Amino acid sequence: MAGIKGLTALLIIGLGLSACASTGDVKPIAPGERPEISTDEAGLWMQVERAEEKLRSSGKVVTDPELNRYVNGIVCRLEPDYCQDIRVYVVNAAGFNASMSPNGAMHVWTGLLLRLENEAQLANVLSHELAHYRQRHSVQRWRDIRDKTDGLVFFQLTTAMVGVAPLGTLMALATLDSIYGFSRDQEQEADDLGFERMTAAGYDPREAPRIWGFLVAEKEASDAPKGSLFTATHPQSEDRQKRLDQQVQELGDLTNDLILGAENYTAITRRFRSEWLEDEVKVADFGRSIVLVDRLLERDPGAGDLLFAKGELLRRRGKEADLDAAIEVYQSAMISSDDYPPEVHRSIALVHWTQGQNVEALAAFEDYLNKNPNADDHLIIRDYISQLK
Amino acid sequence: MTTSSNCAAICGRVFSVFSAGRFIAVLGAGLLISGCVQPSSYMTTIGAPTPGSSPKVLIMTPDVELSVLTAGGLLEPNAEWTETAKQHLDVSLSEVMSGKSVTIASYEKIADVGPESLTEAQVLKLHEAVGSTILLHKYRPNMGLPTKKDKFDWTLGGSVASLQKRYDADYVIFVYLRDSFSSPGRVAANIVLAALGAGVQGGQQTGYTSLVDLKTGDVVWFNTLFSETGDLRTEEGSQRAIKNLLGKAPL
Amino acid sequence: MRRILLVIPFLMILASCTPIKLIEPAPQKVGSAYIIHPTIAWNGLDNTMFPSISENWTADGFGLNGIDFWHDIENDKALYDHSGKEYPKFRKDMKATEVQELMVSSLTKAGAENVQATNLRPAKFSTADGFRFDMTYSATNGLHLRRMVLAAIVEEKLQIISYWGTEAHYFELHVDEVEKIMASVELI
Repeated sequence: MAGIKGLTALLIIGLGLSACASTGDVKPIAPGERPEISTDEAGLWMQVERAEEKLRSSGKVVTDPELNRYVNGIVCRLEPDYCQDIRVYVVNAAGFNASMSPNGAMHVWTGLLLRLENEAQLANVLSHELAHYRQRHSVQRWRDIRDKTDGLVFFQLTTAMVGVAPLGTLMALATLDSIYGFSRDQEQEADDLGFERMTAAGYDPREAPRIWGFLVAEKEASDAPKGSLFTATHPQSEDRQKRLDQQVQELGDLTNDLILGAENYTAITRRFRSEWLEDEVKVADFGRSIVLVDRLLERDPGAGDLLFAKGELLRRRGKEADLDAAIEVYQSAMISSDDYPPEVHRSIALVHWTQGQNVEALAAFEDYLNKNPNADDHLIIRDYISQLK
Repeated sequence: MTTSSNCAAICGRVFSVFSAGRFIAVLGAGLLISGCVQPSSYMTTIGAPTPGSSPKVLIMTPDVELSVLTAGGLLEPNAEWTETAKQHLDVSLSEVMSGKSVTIASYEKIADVGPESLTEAQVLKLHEAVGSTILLHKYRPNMGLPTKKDKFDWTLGGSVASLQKRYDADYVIFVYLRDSFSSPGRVAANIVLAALGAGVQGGQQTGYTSLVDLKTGDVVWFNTLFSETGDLRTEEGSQRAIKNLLGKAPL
Repeated sequence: MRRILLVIPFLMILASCTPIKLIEPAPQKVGSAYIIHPTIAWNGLDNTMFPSISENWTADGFGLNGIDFWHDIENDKALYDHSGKEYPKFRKDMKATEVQELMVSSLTKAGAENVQATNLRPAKFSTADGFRFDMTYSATNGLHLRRMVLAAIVEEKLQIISYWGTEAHYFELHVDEVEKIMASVELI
């Protein structure tokens, strides 16, 4: 058969004229607007609607009414006209992520909520996602990709989520966010429009670039190989931070009554923090998580759950000075807070044991059992104790 | 082409996240290559079904999606065609089922998200996993499970109890269908390719159905469909597909 | 005209080999670390086709249940090796609690969701002192899964026998058989 290259060239020539040259500019979506059923956009909505249904029954969504009211409330403050069209889902997942489906379903990960400090920062994130929705970036992106691939005949093999390794087929459109994501230009547009809207709603614009600063710091400290999923989904964090800094500068002098909403934010999210910290620790990207916890400690020094989390990260990383540092951190958790989990004793014991300090280890395991006699792992702890005696 | 993370799934090292849909499309394509005949249906080897007189059959909402196959080989979902297909399928399903003298009930999702709906969701997810498993191990050449060579004993087990109670039915039928149609650009590409003597790719219709006994959860009967003609957007097309898929269901 | 798909040399490869083998109910060596005694037949995945650090068996399908056997995992080695991901490593001085943490993190990294581990307790791994614990987690589509783990560190190397299955039906199905396998394991 003819060489693929020759074939492809012929096809490009053959189809070049018929392929749409540009996607054109899609108009922003109007409040309450739904795509007409015969459109490609309706096809996208159909797909993401299905995904939304699945999400609702997945057990992954945080159902707490107060948290949901809070987050959806900010959306309505930012975009009162679009309030009815947007549904925010707070998804139990570690990591900084939020995404926007073309049909109005927004996902915000609990790992993102863990990382933010105040309502202004959350407003910036939500505003950015809302801009993707208003500007119809999803359908624009789809058309762009479709038109580009129309020029070439090739069959992409993918087993997108998880399929059977060697068996691929025609590329099917899964949720756009997960496969393609938005283009760099679209992300920039969303940053710009999101910033505008957030500022117009009265939030402190200086909070916007700070978020990217957090991510840059985490990225640099991350143990993940560069080019991993984390770094790939957050490209150009530094660029985005610079750009937003610039935009803040251009605003000139700011008034005094800008909304920060730190107390509000903390009041609503604080009770989830130890759970979200546990999820973060499980990821075992110690470098990144330590940077995060240190930053949270700056704002909430002496917090028992934060100190415990830091101790866990150090203990589990276990490099040179980490073990000694872990003991220190656990001990400060016990000193500065009444609100530290009994597992602190268990962790102290494990570190002492690893360092050959059996007497201290034994004492700490016994402390753990005294505080928590019906601990889920009490059988193994008793076994440790008998080993150490 | 293989990435190890995909390998994780098939190896079941971590978790079951099969997407039945991709399997069936792949399966169809794979069969074309190997020149195999259409796969047969399978009947449970656990015990012959005894429908009794006029059993009640719960029909799950068919999982249907119709798409355009673009010149570039992408599948673009089409809401209008899908809607049309769904309407035709409802009619065709009723017709085929009435031909078998069964009474049918149509599934309705539990509206409120709560423990009941989450439990029911697990049954549906289990079915997806079982369906994918059957497609992989019974229809994919060389991927058979040696211990199941002469066995077909997959089941949803007691997890179907909540469905059974809600509808008081004897059986439940799941239907999965995908249909795609070449865009004009795709047709043009195919013409060029054909003229050059190379292979072409057009739209495909793929699907599967499972008949599950609601007392035991056993997958009593399983059948697949693969076709390069056929059109679920039309009444006849829908009837033909459902007849092919469910005509021989042992009810 | 013959219709072919442009592509997939892989399918051609598959057409000529069977990556799933019958495991007879007879003593089976796992690496050179231990011997297990299944009393029913299982299906084993061929590691040359699908490279894996652990041996992987299934009874009803690799999406429904299975046993993973890790053998002689050395200091500073991970349990999984999926390209592009940095998996946490085993350390030879780990205690049971830390091996449990390793397993939780490894599964989480591999994509499992809401991984929880409970009921950590001492147990024998053949003649060695080991431990057991149980896990629950979900697949990305939300399907609930359960897992039970028997492990031991023997001469600084980690051995793990780990059985998993869907919470609905398929885990329960072979618990008895796996308990037998765990009870009868022999270190080499």
